[in-house]
Amino acid sequence: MLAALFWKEWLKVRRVFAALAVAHLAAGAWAVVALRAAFAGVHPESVWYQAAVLGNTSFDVLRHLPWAGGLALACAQHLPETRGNRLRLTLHLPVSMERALSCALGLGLGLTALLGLFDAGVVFVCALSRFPLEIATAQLATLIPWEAAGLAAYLGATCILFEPSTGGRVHLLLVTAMAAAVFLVPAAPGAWGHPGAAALASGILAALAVIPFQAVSRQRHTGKNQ
Amino acid sequence: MKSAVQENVIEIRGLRHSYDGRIIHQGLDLDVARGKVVGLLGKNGVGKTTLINILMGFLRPAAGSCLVFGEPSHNLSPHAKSRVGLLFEGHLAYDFMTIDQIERFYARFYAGWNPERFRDLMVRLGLPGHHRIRHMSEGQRSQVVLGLLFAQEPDLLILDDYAMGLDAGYRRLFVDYLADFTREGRRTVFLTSHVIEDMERLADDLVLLRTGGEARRLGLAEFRQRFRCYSLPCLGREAPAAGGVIHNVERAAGDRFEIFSFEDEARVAQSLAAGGWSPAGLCPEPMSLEDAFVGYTGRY
Repeated sequence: MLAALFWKEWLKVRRVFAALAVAHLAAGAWAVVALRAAFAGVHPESVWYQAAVLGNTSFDVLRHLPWAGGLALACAQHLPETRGNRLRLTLHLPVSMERALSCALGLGLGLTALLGLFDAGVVFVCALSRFPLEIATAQLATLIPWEAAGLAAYLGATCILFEPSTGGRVHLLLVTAMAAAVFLVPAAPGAWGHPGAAALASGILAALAVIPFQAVSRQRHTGKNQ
Repeated sequence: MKSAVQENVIEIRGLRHSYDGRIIHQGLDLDVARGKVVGLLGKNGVGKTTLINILMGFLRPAAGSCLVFGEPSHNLSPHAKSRVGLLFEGHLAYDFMTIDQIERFYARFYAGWNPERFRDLMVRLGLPGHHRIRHMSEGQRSQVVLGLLFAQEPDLLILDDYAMGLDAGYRRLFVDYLADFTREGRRTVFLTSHVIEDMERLADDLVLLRTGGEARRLGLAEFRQRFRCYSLPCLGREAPAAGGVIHNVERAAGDRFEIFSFEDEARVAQSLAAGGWSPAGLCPEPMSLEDAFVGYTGRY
Protein backbone atom coordinates (compact mmCIF):
# COMPACT_ATOMS: atom_id res chain seq x y z
CA MET A 1 0.00 0.00 0.00
CA LEU A 2 2.81 2.41 0.83
CA ALA A 3 4.39 1.80 -2.53
CA ALA A 4 1.07 2.53 -4.23
CA LEU A 5 0.66 5.76 -2.28
CA PHE A 6 4.17 6.92 -3.21
CA TRP A 7 3.53 5.93 -6.82
CA LYS A 8 0.34 8.01 -6.93
CA GLU A 9 2.25 11.03 -5.64
CA TRP A 10 5.02 10.43 -8.13
CA LEU A 11 2.55 10.31 -11.04
CA LYS A 12 1.40 13.80 -10.15
CA VAL A 13 4.79 15.43 -9.76
CA ARG A 14 7.03 13.62 -12.21
CA ARG A 15 6.73 16.18 -15.01
CA VAL A 16 7.23 19.16 -12.73
CA PHE A 17 10.09 17.37 -11.02
CA ALA A 18 11.72 16.68 -14.39
CA ALA A 19 11.39 20.36 -15.30
CA LEU A 20 12.83 21.40 -11.93
CA ALA A 21 15.70 18.95 -12.32
CA VAL A 22 16.55 20.53 -15.68
CA ALA A 23 16.32 24.01 -14.10
CA HIS A 24 18.64 22.99 -11.25
CA LEU A 25 21.03 21.39 -13.71
CA ALA A 26 21.09 24.62 -15.71
CA ALA A 27 21.54 26.70 -12.56
CA GLY A 28 24.38 24.43 -11.41
CA ALA A 29 26.08 24.79 -14.78
CA TRP A 30 25.61 28.55 -14.56
CA ALA A 31 27.25 28.58 -11.13
CA VAL A 32 30.25 26.61 -12.40
CA VAL A 33 30.66 28.89 -15.39
CA ALA A 34 30.22 32.01 -13.23
CA LEU A 35 32.97 30.86 -10.84
CA ARG A 36 35.34 30.11 -13.72
CA ALA A 37 34.52 33.50 -15.23
CA ALA A 38 35.23 35.21 -11.90
CA PHE A 39 38.67 33.66 -11.71
CA ALA A 40 39.30 34.45 -15.37
CA GLY A 41 38.17 38.05 -15.03
CA VAL A 42 39.97 39.28 -11.92
CA HIS A 43 42.99 38.33 -9.88
CA PRO A 44 42.35 35.09 -7.83
CA GLU A 45 43.23 36.93 -4.61
CA SER A 46 40.33 39.28 -5.23
CA VAL A 47 37.95 36.35 -5.74
CA TRP A 48 39.24 34.70 -2.57
CA TYR A 49 38.78 37.94 -0.66
CA GLN A 50 35.19 38.32 -1.89
CA ALA A 51 34.41 34.72 -1.05
CA ALA A 52 36.18 34.47 2.32
CA VAL A 53 35.62 37.94 3.78
CA LEU A 54 32.58 39.37 2.02
CA GLY A 55 30.79 36.03 1.66
CA ASN A 56 30.07 36.57 -2.06
CA THR A 57 29.19 33.54 -4.12
CA SER A 58 29.00 32.63 -7.78
CA PHE A 59 25.72 30.81 -7.34
CA ASP A 60 23.29 33.59 -6.49
CA VAL A 61 21.08 32.09 -9.21
CA LEU A 62 20.29 29.35 -6.66
CA ARG A 63 18.83 31.77 -4.12
CA HIS A 64 15.33 31.81 -5.62
CA LEU A 65 15.17 28.51 -7.45
CA PRO A 66 14.51 26.27 -4.40
CA TRP A 67 11.54 28.18 -3.00
CA ALA A 68 10.01 28.63 -6.45
CA GLY A 69 10.50 24.91 -7.03
CA GLY A 70 8.95 24.06 -3.67
CA LEU A 71 5.86 26.06 -4.58
CA ALA A 72 5.63 24.45 -8.02
CA LEU A 73 6.05 20.96 -6.60
CA ALA A 74 3.39 21.49 -3.91
CA CYS A 75 0.92 22.84 -6.44
CA ALA A 76 1.56 19.99 -8.89
CA GLN A 77 1.19 17.43 -6.12
CA HIS A 78 -1.74 18.70 -4.11
CA LEU A 79 -3.93 20.72 -6.49
CA PRO A 80 -5.14 17.59 -8.34
CA GLU A 81 -6.51 16.33 -5.03
CA THR A 82 -7.65 19.48 -3.27
CA ARG A 83 -9.73 20.83 -6.18
CA GLY A 84 -13.21 19.47 -6.74
CA ASN A 85 -13.36 17.52 -3.45
CA ARG A 86 -10.93 14.89 -4.77
CA LEU A 87 -9.18 14.65 -1.42
CA ARG A 88 -12.12 12.45 -0.44
CA LEU A 89 -10.74 9.76 -2.71
CA THR A 90 -7.54 9.58 -0.72
CA LEU A 91 -9.27 9.93 2.65
CA HIS A 92 -11.43 6.92 1.84
CA LEU A 93 -8.54 4.66 0.88
CA PRO A 94 -8.20 1.83 3.41
CA VAL A 95 -5.23 3.46 5.11
CA SER A 96 -5.15 6.02 7.89
CA MET A 97 -5.20 9.68 6.97
CA GLU A 98 -1.87 10.12 8.75
CA ARG A 99 -0.22 7.47 6.63
CA ALA A 100 -1.62 8.80 3.35
CA LEU A 101 -0.57 12.36 4.18
CA SER A 102 2.84 11.26 5.43
CA CYS A 103 3.50 9.56 2.11
CA ALA A 104 2.46 12.67 0.22
CA LEU A 105 4.61 14.98 2.33
CA GLY A 106 7.45 12.47 2.40
CA LEU A 107 7.65 12.30 -1.36
CA GLY A 108 7.40 16.06 -1.81
CA LEU A 109 9.99 16.81 0.85
CA GLY A 110 12.20 14.02 -0.43
CA LEU A 111 12.21 15.38 -3.99
CA THR A 112 12.77 18.94 -2.78
CA ALA A 113 15.65 17.72 -0.63
CA LEU A 114 17.05 15.74 -3.56
CA LEU A 115 17.23 18.87 -5.67
CA GLY A 116 18.83 20.65 -2.71
CA LEU A 117 21.43 17.90 -2.37
CA PHE A 118 22.21 18.20 -6.06
CA ASP A 119 22.71 21.97 -5.67
CA ALA A 120 24.86 21.41 -2.59
CA GLY A 121 26.97 18.83 -4.42
CA VAL A 122 27.54 21.12 -7.39
CA VAL A 123 28.40 24.11 -5.19
CA PHE A 124 30.70 22.15 -2.88
CA VAL A 125 32.59 20.33 -5.63
CA CYS A 126 32.85 23.49 -7.70
CA ALA A 127 34.05 25.51 -4.71
CA LEU A 128 36.55 22.85 -3.66
CA SER A 129 38.13 23.00 -7.11
CA ARG A 130 39.05 26.64 -6.53
CA PHE A 131 38.99 27.28 -2.78
CA PRO A 132 40.28 25.58 0.34
CA LEU A 133 37.91 23.40 2.37
CA GLU A 134 37.05 26.19 4.82
CA ILE A 135 35.78 28.52 2.11
CA ALA A 136 34.02 25.70 0.27
CA THR A 137 32.25 24.79 3.52
CA ALA A 138 31.30 28.42 4.10
CA GLN A 139 29.85 28.58 0.59
CA LEU A 140 27.83 25.46 1.34
CA ALA A 141 26.59 27.09 4.55
CA THR A 142 25.34 30.01 2.46
CA LEU A 143 23.40 27.67 0.22
CA ILE A 144 21.72 25.58 2.94
CA PRO A 145 19.24 28.26 4.17
CA TRP A 146 18.16 28.85 0.58
CA GLU A 147 17.46 25.16 0.22
CA ALA A 148 15.61 25.27 3.55
CA ALA A 149 13.48 28.05 2.03
CA GLY A 150 12.54 25.49 -0.64
CA LEU A 151 11.35 23.06 2.02
CA ALA A 152 9.49 25.87 3.80
CA ALA A 153 7.82 26.97 0.56
CA TYR A 154 6.81 23.39 -0.21
CA LEU A 155 5.37 22.84 3.26
CA GLY A 156 3.73 26.28 3.39
CA ALA A 157 2.04 25.81 0.01
CA THR A 158 0.89 22.37 1.17
CA CYS A 159 -0.62 23.91 4.32
CA ILE A 160 -2.43 26.54 2.25
CA LEU A 161 -3.83 23.98 -0.18
CA PHE A 162 -5.14 21.71 2.58
CA GLU A 163 -6.52 24.52 4.74
CA PRO A 164 -10.35 24.47 4.63
CA SER A 165 -11.09 28.15 5.39
CA THR A 166 -10.29 31.21 3.31
CA GLY A 167 -9.19 33.18 6.36
CA GLY A 168 -6.89 30.35 7.36
CA ARG A 169 -5.36 30.31 3.90
CA VAL A 170 -4.58 34.03 4.11
CA HIS A 171 -2.92 33.53 7.50
CA LEU A 172 -0.92 30.59 6.22
CA LEU A 173 0.15 32.57 3.16
CA LEU A 174 1.62 35.20 5.46
CA VAL A 175 3.23 32.56 7.67
CA THR A 176 4.73 30.85 4.63
CA ALA A 177 6.06 34.12 3.23
CA MET A 178 7.65 34.97 6.58
CA ALA A 179 9.09 31.50 7.00
CA ALA A 180 10.68 31.61 3.54
CA ALA A 181 11.92 35.16 4.19
CA VAL A 182 13.69 34.02 7.37
CA PHE A 183 15.81 31.71 5.24
CA LEU A 184 16.31 34.12 2.36
CA VAL A 185 17.30 37.36 4.08
CA PRO A 186 21.07 37.94 3.81
CA ALA A 187 22.84 36.63 6.89
CA ALA A 188 26.38 37.09 8.10
CA PRO A 189 28.71 34.30 6.93
CA GLY A 190 28.36 31.38 9.33
CA ALA A 191 25.26 32.77 11.01
CA TRP A 192 23.22 29.66 10.23
CA GLY A 193 25.87 27.49 11.81
CA HIS A 194 24.87 28.73 15.26
CA PRO A 195 22.89 26.07 17.21
CA GLY A 196 20.11 28.57 17.92
CA ALA A 197 19.69 29.33 14.23
CA ALA A 198 19.64 25.65 13.39
CA ALA A 199 17.01 25.07 16.08
CA LEU A 200 14.94 27.96 14.69
CA ALA A 201 15.13 26.47 11.20
CA SER A 202 14.15 23.04 12.44
CA GLY A 203 11.29 24.51 14.47
CA ILE A 204 9.89 26.43 11.50
CA LEU A 205 9.99 23.39 9.23
CA ALA A 206 8.56 21.05 11.88
CA ALA A 207 5.67 23.43 12.60
CA LEU A 208 4.87 23.74 8.91
CA ALA A 209 4.97 19.95 8.55
CA VAL A 210 2.36 19.46 11.29
CA ILE A 211 -0.19 21.96 9.95
CA PRO A 212 -1.43 19.90 6.95
CA PHE A 213 -2.41 17.05 9.26
CA GLN A 214 -4.42 19.42 11.43
CA ALA A 215 -5.97 21.08 8.39
CA VAL A 216 -7.21 17.77 6.98
CA SER A 217 -8.53 16.74 10.40
CA ARG A 218 -10.50 19.97 10.59
CA GLN A 219 -11.90 19.32 7.13
CA ARG A 220 -13.47 16.13 8.45
CA HIS A 221 -15.32 18.17 11.07
CA THR A 222 -16.54 20.85 8.71
CA GLY A 223 -16.94 18.98 5.44
CA LYS A 224 -15.18 21.81 3.62
CA ASN A 225 -12.58 21.65 0.88
CA GLN A 226 -12.59 17.87 0.46
CA MET B 1 -37.77 3.89 11.55
CA LYS B 2 -35.96 0.96 13.05
CA SER B 3 -35.73 -2.14 10.97
CA ALA B 4 -36.68 -5.49 12.43
CA VAL B 5 -33.63 -7.14 10.83
CA GLN B 6 -30.86 -7.48 13.36
CA GLU B 7 -27.63 -7.15 11.44
CA ASN B 8 -27.37 -3.46 10.66
CA VAL B 9 -24.65 -2.14 8.41
CA ILE B 10 -25.64 1.45 9.13
CA GLU B 11 -27.00 2.63 12.47
CA ILE B 12 -27.91 6.25 13.00
CA ARG B 13 -29.16 7.38 16.40
CA GLY B 14 -30.36 10.83 17.40
CA LEU B 15 -28.43 12.48 14.60
CA ARG B 16 -28.52 16.26 14.73
CA HIS B 17 -26.86 18.71 12.41
CA SER B 18 -27.42 22.35 11.54
CA TYR B 19 -25.77 25.07 9.49
CA ASP B 20 -25.81 28.63 10.82
CA GLY B 21 -28.76 27.87 13.09
CA ARG B 22 -30.80 26.17 10.33
CA ILE B 23 -31.64 22.67 11.47
CA ILE B 24 -30.93 20.08 8.81
CA HIS B 25 -31.38 16.93 10.86
CA GLN B 26 -33.00 16.74 14.25
CA GLY B 27 -32.94 13.44 16.12
CA LEU B 28 -32.71 11.27 13.01
CA ASP B 29 -32.78 7.52 13.67
CA LEU B 30 -32.13 5.15 10.80
CA ASP B 31 -31.00 1.56 10.43
CA VAL B 32 -29.95 -0.08 7.20
CA ALA B 33 -29.84 -3.84 7.44
CA ARG B 34 -27.39 -6.01 5.53
CA GLY B 35 -28.62 -6.73 2.02
CA LYS B 36 -30.99 -3.79 1.82
CA VAL B 37 -30.99 -1.20 -0.93
CA VAL B 38 -32.17 2.07 0.54
CA GLY B 39 -32.88 5.18 -1.51
CA LEU B 40 -32.62 8.57 0.12
CA LEU B 41 -35.04 11.03 -1.44
CA GLY B 42 -35.82 14.65 -0.78
CA LYS B 43 -35.87 18.02 -2.43
CA ASN B 44 -32.74 20.11 -2.74
CA GLY B 45 -31.69 21.58 0.59
CA VAL B 46 -33.37 19.09 2.91
CA GLY B 47 -30.11 17.47 3.98
CA LYS B 48 -29.44 14.58 1.62
CA THR B 49 -25.88 15.67 0.95
CA THR B 50 -25.33 16.40 4.64
CA LEU B 51 -26.47 12.90 5.58
CA ILE B 52 -24.38 11.34 2.81
CA ASN B 53 -21.34 13.37 3.91
CA ILE B 54 -21.82 12.21 7.49
CA LEU B 55 -22.20 8.60 6.35
CA MET B 56 -19.14 8.87 4.16
CA GLY B 57 -17.18 10.24 7.09
CA PHE B 58 -16.48 13.67 5.68
CA LEU B 59 -18.61 15.55 8.18
CA ARG B 60 -18.93 15.02 11.89
CA PRO B 61 -22.51 15.32 13.18
CA ALA B 62 -23.20 18.00 15.77
CA ALA B 63 -24.83 15.38 18.00
CA GLY B 64 -25.92 11.76 17.91
CA SER B 65 -24.09 8.85 16.37
CA CYS B 66 -23.65 7.45 12.91
CA LEU B 67 -22.14 3.97 12.84
CA VAL B 68 -21.00 2.08 9.77
CA PHE B 69 -20.09 -1.55 10.47
CA GLY B 70 -20.28 -0.59 14.14
CA GLU B 71 -17.64 2.16 13.87
CA PRO B 72 -18.19 5.94 13.90
CA SER B 73 -18.46 6.96 10.27
CA HIS B 74 -16.06 9.90 10.71
CA ASN B 75 -13.37 7.64 12.13
CA LEU B 76 -13.55 4.36 10.23
CA SER B 77 -10.67 1.94 10.55
CA PRO B 78 -8.84 1.00 7.34
CA HIS B 79 -10.52 -2.42 7.48
CA ALA B 80 -14.01 -0.90 7.66
CA LYS B 81 -13.14 1.51 4.84
CA SER B 82 -12.06 -1.42 2.69
CA ARG B 83 -15.61 -2.79 2.99
CA VAL B 84 -17.25 0.46 1.85
CA GLY B 85 -17.41 1.61 -1.75
CA LEU B 86 -18.11 5.31 -2.15
CA LEU B 87 -19.32 6.97 -5.30
CA PHE B 88 -18.95 10.71 -5.06
CA GLU B 89 -21.15 13.25 -6.76
CA GLY B 90 -19.65 14.03 -10.16
CA HIS B 91 -18.00 10.59 -10.39
CA LEU B 92 -14.79 11.78 -8.82
CA ALA B 93 -11.67 9.88 -9.79
CA TYR B 94 -7.93 10.50 -9.88
CA ASP B 95 -8.14 12.17 -13.26
CA PHE B 96 -4.36 12.43 -13.64
CA MET B 97 -4.21 8.65 -13.99
CA THR B 98 -4.86 6.48 -17.01
CA ILE B 99 -7.28 3.54 -17.01
CA ASP B 100 -4.44 1.06 -16.45
CA GLN B 101 -2.81 3.18 -13.78
CA ILE B 102 -5.98 3.66 -11.75
CA GLU B 103 -6.70 -0.07 -11.73
CA ARG B 104 -3.12 -0.85 -10.74
CA PHE B 105 -3.35 1.72 -7.95
CA TYR B 106 -6.65 0.60 -6.41
CA ALA B 107 -5.88 -3.12 -6.74
CA ARG B 108 -3.12 -2.70 -4.13
CA PHE B 109 -5.59 -1.64 -1.44
CA TYR B 110 -8.28 -4.31 -1.66
CA ALA B 111 -7.56 -7.91 -0.77
CA GLY B 112 -10.57 -9.18 -2.70
CA TRP B 113 -9.90 -7.10 -5.81
CA ASN B 114 -11.78 -8.59 -8.76
CA PRO B 115 -10.08 -7.46 -11.98
CA GLU B 116 -12.71 -9.14 -14.16
CA ARG B 117 -15.38 -6.74 -13.00
CA PHE B 118 -13.23 -3.76 -13.93
CA ARG B 119 -12.14 -5.18 -17.27
CA ASP B 120 -15.69 -6.09 -18.21
CA LEU B 121 -16.74 -2.46 -18.00
CA MET B 122 -13.55 -1.23 -19.64
CA VAL B 123 -14.10 -3.53 -22.62
CA ARG B 124 -17.53 -1.97 -23.01
CA LEU B 125 -15.94 1.45 -22.72
CA GLY B 126 -13.72 0.66 -25.69
CA LEU B 127 -10.89 3.01 -24.72
CA PRO B 128 -7.23 2.00 -24.59
CA GLY B 129 -5.65 1.44 -21.19
CA HIS B 130 -3.38 4.44 -21.62
CA HIS B 131 -6.36 6.79 -22.00
CA ARG B 132 -6.19 9.44 -19.31
CA ILE B 133 -9.28 9.89 -17.15
CA ARG B 134 -9.21 13.67 -17.38
CA HIS B 135 -9.79 13.36 -21.11
CA MET B 136 -12.99 11.34 -20.68
CA SER B 137 -16.59 12.49 -20.79
CA GLU B 138 -18.62 12.32 -17.58
CA GLY B 139 -20.33 9.16 -18.82
CA GLN B 140 -17.05 7.44 -19.64
CA ARG B 141 -15.64 8.43 -16.27
CA SER B 142 -18.73 7.06 -14.54
CA GLN B 143 -18.01 3.70 -16.16
CA VAL B 144 -14.43 3.70 -14.86
CA VAL B 145 -15.62 4.65 -11.37
CA LEU B 146 -18.30 1.95 -11.43
CA GLY B 147 -15.70 -0.61 -12.51
CA LEU B 148 -13.42 0.40 -9.65
CA LEU B 149 -16.28 0.22 -7.15
CA PHE B 150 -17.40 -3.22 -8.30
CA ALA B 151 -13.86 -4.60 -8.41
CA GLN B 152 -13.45 -3.69 -4.75
CA GLU B 153 -16.29 -6.15 -3.97
CA PRO B 154 -17.58 -3.89 -1.21
CA ASP B 155 -20.13 -5.00 1.37
CA LEU B 156 -21.63 -1.52 1.46
CA LEU B 157 -22.03 0.91 -1.42
CA ILE B 158 -22.86 4.55 -0.77
CA LEU B 159 -23.74 6.33 -3.99
CA ASP B 160 -24.20 10.09 -4.03
CA ASP B 161 -26.31 11.18 -6.98
CA TYR B 162 -24.83 8.72 -9.45
CA ALA B 163 -27.08 10.01 -12.26
CA MET B 164 -25.72 13.55 -12.23
CA GLY B 165 -24.18 14.43 -15.58
CA LEU B 166 -25.08 11.14 -17.24
CA ASP B 167 -27.10 10.93 -20.43
CA ALA B 168 -29.91 8.39 -20.66
CA GLY B 169 -27.70 5.67 -22.15
CA TYR B 170 -24.94 5.88 -19.57
CA ARG B 171 -27.48 6.17 -16.78
CA ARG B 172 -29.24 3.03 -17.98
CA LEU B 173 -25.95 1.17 -18.24
CA PHE B 174 -25.04 2.31 -14.74
CA VAL B 175 -28.38 1.24 -13.27
CA ASP B 176 -28.34 -2.12 -15.10
CA TYR B 177 -24.92 -3.00 -13.75
CA LEU B 178 -25.78 -1.73 -10.31
CA ALA B 179 -29.02 -3.72 -10.22
CA ASP B 180 -27.17 -6.92 -11.15
CA PHE B 181 -24.39 -6.20 -8.69
CA THR B 182 -26.74 -5.61 -5.77
CA ARG B 183 -28.60 -8.85 -6.49
CA GLU B 184 -25.38 -10.83 -6.06
CA GLY B 185 -24.69 -11.73 -2.46
CA ARG B 186 -25.98 -9.63 0.38
CA ARG B 187 -24.72 -6.26 -0.58
CA THR B 188 -26.04 -3.19 1.11
CA VAL B 189 -26.58 -0.01 -0.87
CA PHE B 190 -27.44 3.48 0.29
CA LEU B 191 -28.04 5.85 -2.59
CA THR B 192 -29.42 9.21 -3.62
CA SER B 193 -30.52 10.23 -7.06
CA HIS B 194 -32.56 12.93 -8.69
CA VAL B 195 -33.90 10.33 -11.12
CA ILE B 196 -36.75 8.93 -9.09
CA GLU B 197 -37.75 6.25 -11.57
CA ASP B 198 -34.41 4.46 -11.04
CA MET B 199 -35.44 3.81 -7.46
CA GLU B 200 -38.14 1.46 -8.70
CA ARG B 201 -35.47 -0.78 -10.18
CA LEU B 202 -33.00 -0.51 -7.35
CA ALA B 203 -34.46 0.30 -3.95
CA ASP B 204 -36.14 -1.91 -1.38
CA ASP B 205 -36.84 0.95 0.98
CA LEU B 206 -37.07 4.71 0.73
CA VAL B 207 -36.06 7.33 3.24
CA LEU B 208 -38.04 10.46 2.49
CA LEU B 209 -36.58 13.67 3.86
CA ARG B 210 -38.53 16.88 4.24
CA THR B 211 -37.49 20.38 5.23
CA GLY B 212 -36.82 20.74 8.93
CA GLY B 213 -35.27 17.36 9.38
CA GLU B 214 -38.40 15.20 9.16
CA ALA B 215 -37.56 11.75 7.83
CA ARG B 216 -39.84 8.83 7.03
CA ARG B 217 -38.73 5.31 6.19
CA LEU B 218 -41.00 3.21 3.99
CA GLY B 219 -40.75 0.12 1.87
CA LEU B 220 -40.90 1.07 -1.79
CA ALA B 221 -43.86 -1.25 -2.40
CA GLU B 222 -45.63 0.07 0.68
CA PHE B 223 -45.12 3.66 -0.47
CA ARG B 224 -46.43 2.89 -3.96
CA GLN B 225 -49.40 1.05 -2.52
CA ARG B 226 -50.37 3.34 0.31
CA PHE B 227 -49.53 6.84 -0.87
CA ARG B 228 -52.31 8.11 -3.08
CA CYS B 229 -53.33 11.12 -5.10
CA TYR B 230 -56.87 12.43 -5.39
CA SER B 231 -58.11 15.09 -7.72
CA LEU B 232 -60.60 17.71 -6.46
CA PRO B 233 -62.12 20.48 -8.64
CA CYS B 234 -61.05 23.96 -7.49
CA LEU B 235 -64.36 25.72 -8.26
CA GLY B 236 -62.81 28.98 -7.11
CA ARG B 237 -62.23 27.69 -3.60
CA GLU B 238 -59.21 28.06 -1.37
CA ALA B 239 -56.99 24.99 -1.23
CA PRO B 240 -57.77 22.55 1.61
CA ALA B 241 -55.23 22.73 4.37
CA ALA B 242 -52.74 19.87 4.76
CA GLY B 243 -52.66 18.07 8.08
CA GLY B 244 -54.01 14.95 9.66
CA VAL B 245 -55.27 12.59 6.98
CA ILE B 246 -54.24 14.99 4.20
CA HIS B 247 -50.48 14.88 3.72
CA ASN B 248 -50.14 17.57 1.06
CA VAL B 249 -52.25 19.63 -1.32
CA GLU B 250 -51.02 21.10 -4.60
CA ARG B 251 -52.81 23.25 -7.14
CA ALA B 252 -52.60 21.38 -10.44
CA ALA B 253 -53.22 22.14 -14.10
CA GLY B 254 -56.89 21.86 -15.17
CA ASP B 255 -58.30 24.01 -12.34
CA ARG B 256 -58.07 21.29 -9.73
CA PHE B 257 -56.32 20.41 -6.53
CA GLU B 258 -54.20 17.32 -6.09
CA ILE B 259 -54.64 15.92 -2.61
CA PHE B 260 -52.01 13.47 -1.37
CA SER B 261 -52.70 11.09 1.45
CA PHE B 262 -51.81 7.71 2.89
CA GLU B 263 -55.52 7.08 3.46
CA ASP B 264 -58.28 5.74 1.22
CA GLU B 265 -60.79 7.89 -0.64
CA ALA B 266 -63.51 7.62 2.00
CA ARG B 267 -61.19 8.84 4.79
CA VAL B 268 -59.97 11.73 2.67
CA ALA B 269 -63.54 12.73 1.76
CA GLN B 270 -64.46 12.56 5.42
CA SER B 271 -61.52 14.74 6.36
CA LEU B 272 -62.36 17.31 3.67
CA ALA B 273 -65.96 17.48 4.82
CA ALA B 274 -64.87 17.89 8.42
CA GLY B 275 -62.75 20.85 7.35
CA GLY B 276 -65.62 22.49 5.48
CA TRP B 277 -64.67 21.48 1.93
CA SER B 278 -67.15 19.64 -0.18
CA PRO B 279 -65.60 16.39 -1.39
CA ALA B 280 -67.81 16.42 -4.50
CA GLY B 281 -65.75 15.43 -7.55
CA LEU B 282 -62.99 13.82 -5.46
CA CYS B 283 -61.47 10.99 -7.47
CA PRO B 284 -58.25 8.95 -7.33
CA GLU B 285 -55.49 9.73 -9.83
CA PRO B 286 -52.82 7.32 -11.07
CA MET B 287 -49.28 8.25 -10.04
CA SER B 288 -45.77 7.40 -11.11
CA LEU B 289 -43.15 7.12 -8.37
CA GLU B 290 -41.93 10.59 -9.33
CA ASP B 291 -45.48 11.96 -8.96
CA ALA B 292 -45.69 10.32 -5.56
CA PHE B 293 -42.31 11.74 -4.52
CA VAL B 294 -43.28 15.26 -5.57
CA GLY B 295 -46.64 14.83 -3.89
CA TYR B 296 -44.95 13.70 -0.70
CA THR B 297 -42.23 16.32 -0.55
CA GLY B 298 -44.25 19.13 -2.15
CA ARG B 299 -43.45 21.33 -5.13
CA TYR B 300 -41.28 24.39 -4.77
